[in-house]
Amino acid sequence: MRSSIKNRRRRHRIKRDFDLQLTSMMDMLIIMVVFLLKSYATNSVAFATSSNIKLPSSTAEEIPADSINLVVEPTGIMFDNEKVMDFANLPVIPSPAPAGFTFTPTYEIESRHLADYGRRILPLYDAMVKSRQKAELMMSKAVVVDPTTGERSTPKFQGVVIIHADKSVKFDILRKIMYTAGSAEFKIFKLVAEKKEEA
Amino acid sequence: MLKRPTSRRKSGSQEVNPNLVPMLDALVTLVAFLLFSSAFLSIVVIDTPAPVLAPAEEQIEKMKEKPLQLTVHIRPETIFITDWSGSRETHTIPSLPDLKTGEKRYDYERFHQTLVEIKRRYPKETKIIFKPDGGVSYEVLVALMDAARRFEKTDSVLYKKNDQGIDEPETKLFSEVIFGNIMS
Repeated sequence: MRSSIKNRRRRHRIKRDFDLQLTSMMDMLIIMVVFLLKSYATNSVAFATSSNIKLPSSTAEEIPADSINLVVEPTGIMFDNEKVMDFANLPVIPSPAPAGFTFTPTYEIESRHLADYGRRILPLYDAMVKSRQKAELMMSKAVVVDPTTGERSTPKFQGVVIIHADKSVKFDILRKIMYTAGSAEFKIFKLVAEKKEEA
Repeated sequence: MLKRPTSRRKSGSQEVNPNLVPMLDALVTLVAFLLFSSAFLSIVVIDTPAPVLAPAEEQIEKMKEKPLQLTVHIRPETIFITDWSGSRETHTIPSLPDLKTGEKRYDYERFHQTLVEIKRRYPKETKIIFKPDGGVSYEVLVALMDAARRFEKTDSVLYKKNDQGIDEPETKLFSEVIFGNIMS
């Protein structure tokens, strides 16, 4: 009796295409896309922070604006995404470097690269002066209109430089960099740090 | 001409099933792209202007007002806080041995509390000059700048008058940090 019922059920089972319910998955993905787009918009500044440096933590709240970046790498100094100088007494780094290869950075600058009694870094100074002149040339052709008064004026060079450095970098090298930047008319330094989450 | 009854019945009840698979593909690709390109590390910046040498006449005028010129000398094992003349504020904060490592570290808490006390005496002062030694690390500088720039939630509240003359809690301690020994 039982077997006959089973057979009847098997006979009645109709072969149908398997329909996956995609609507709920679509809903979920759309929510994710909206969330990611929102967080993407708040972090619009592209940063050239090196993966080789560990930033210090800070409770500061200012989000960096788009500006010229200066990165103190373990092997040298990068300015505006271009390496301007290598540090002295670096160990021989195999190319390609094997996985997990590390070395202790020296952050030493050769004396031939220094001027003003060892305070100004010449290759960095040259790069910064070039960058300033380029920015000033571009600004001289631009016109800014004051939204309240309607006055037209030429924008002025702000001289903002964003400094990225490893947390172990000593003030001695930072002082040289700041002195060089100040000499090249970059008068506002923005020190980059990782945001510390408050308890 | 009349239609056959069977075809009339079928034409009214046809379900429309949009093909969601290509849309799903596009969304998955978009999510993957956004996840890869999003920065989950929040980056912040601390402003510090380069010291500017004012003209001699301006300097003389400023000195008549007897500015505080609060200066922090960061030595290897001590923090020394002083005003311009050294007559109003002089504080020495020695480093403490770390409980975990035993190595000496700066006493950030005492440094902050000292600055809070100074701020109570000079509530309008906003500038502080840092003069670190060459061997002080960037991490220590950022930690000291954090301690000097803002009141913490646990600090007793200092009130200031806003533009409408209403008392409001002050959040900034010495918010303008300038490195005083860059040019020297």
